[in-house]
Amino acid sequence: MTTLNKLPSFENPPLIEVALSVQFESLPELQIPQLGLLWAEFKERFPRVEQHTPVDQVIERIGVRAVPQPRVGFKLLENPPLPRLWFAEDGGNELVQVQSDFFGRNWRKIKELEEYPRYEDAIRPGFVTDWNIFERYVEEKGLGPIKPNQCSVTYVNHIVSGDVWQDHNELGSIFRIWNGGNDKRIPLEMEDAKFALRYVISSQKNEFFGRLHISVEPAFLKQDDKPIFVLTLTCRGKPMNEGLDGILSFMDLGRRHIVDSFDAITTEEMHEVWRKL
Amino acid sequence: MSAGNLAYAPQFGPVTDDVSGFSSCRLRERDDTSVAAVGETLTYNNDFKWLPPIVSRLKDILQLNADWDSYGAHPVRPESAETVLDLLYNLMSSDTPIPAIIPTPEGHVQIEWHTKGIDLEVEIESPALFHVSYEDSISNNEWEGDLQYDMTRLATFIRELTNR
Repeated sequence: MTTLNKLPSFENPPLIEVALSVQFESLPELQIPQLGLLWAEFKERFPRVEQHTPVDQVIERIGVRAVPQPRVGFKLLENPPLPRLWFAEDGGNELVQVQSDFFGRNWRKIKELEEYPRYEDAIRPGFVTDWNIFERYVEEKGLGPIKPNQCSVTYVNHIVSGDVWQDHNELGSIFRIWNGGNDKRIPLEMEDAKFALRYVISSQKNEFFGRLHISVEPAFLKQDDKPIFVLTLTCRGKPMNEGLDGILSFMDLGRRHIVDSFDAITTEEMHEVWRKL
Repeated sequence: MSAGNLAYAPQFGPVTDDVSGFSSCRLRERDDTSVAAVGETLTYNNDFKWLPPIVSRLKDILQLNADWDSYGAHPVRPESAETVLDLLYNLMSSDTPIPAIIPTPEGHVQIEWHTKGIDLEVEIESPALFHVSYEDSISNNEWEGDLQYDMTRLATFIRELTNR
């Protein structure tokens, strides 16, 4: 963990959400009643329950045709799919997500002045605590074993317009990798742009682990209509070995790639706004 | 499992891999944001002519009850069938021969090609574990083993039987 200290750090990052999640082979016995009983394990800290559409299984593979966004999925449904349940704190910052083949743990920035509680101090330990509760429940009820096939780390940033940039066509002020849009051979004013990048994560021996996905999309804040860019960085890939250690090893690696990439693709002007340390 | 209960798709559309806990509630999309009609494009695209017979076959084998072989076979797991479609979508081209789809007693699905001197069998043991057997009687190449996340070898085999 000592190497984590060398990562770029920002006093006031534009993060609004971090999600750590694990996808595993479907547990057919984890039905609605079992999900309800599982909530009892979390109810004290997460008293609010919501039902949502389940997330689909997504597996990062190499050697297959590169699929442009949006990815196309297939479902063969015998019955209506079981929901994904959210167990949320009263304040809403912390969230556990569970479905028959997925477990997720989110931190969300709900109020403007809330500080990001940091990966090592809160995000990672929070995931470990709640994953252990989930794993123990599955084991005690004989619903398992849990066989993880993918883990993911997602950081969502809202880059709000301000002194450095005011309009969606000023991508170059935010993203140092952006050098298009102002080509004089196009006699038109660029209005906005969105882009997506994918990077392959491999070991030094060229063993494929997964991918880093970066997407940038223009949007507006609901409360004041300010232009923003939503910068989402997701690392998804296979657990690096058995059990929780393998999951956390991938998450630590993914988080490292996300933080390094965030620093690399954004400009020094924005780093000043976010008070890079 | 009765045929009447089988609300099979395939449903085409963007994969729902959004794990966010916000559901975009804080944002107003630009007015011109739209979602492409991916389903219609795929359904009528000649590149995917393999899809209807494969889906039809998957639909049939998903209706098999437990003990369908009288030797205690398990019913086919839906995620195995979905993985077949996912894999073929990412590896087949319009010229690739349409494979046979075979249920296994373990509840898995096996994809098989026996054509042009090549025997290629891919057993979907889970969404992230495929057992592959390849024999080429013309070049005398053969290979057998498990694949998890790296499909390079399988893509090469399928390319060979497509181009021969």
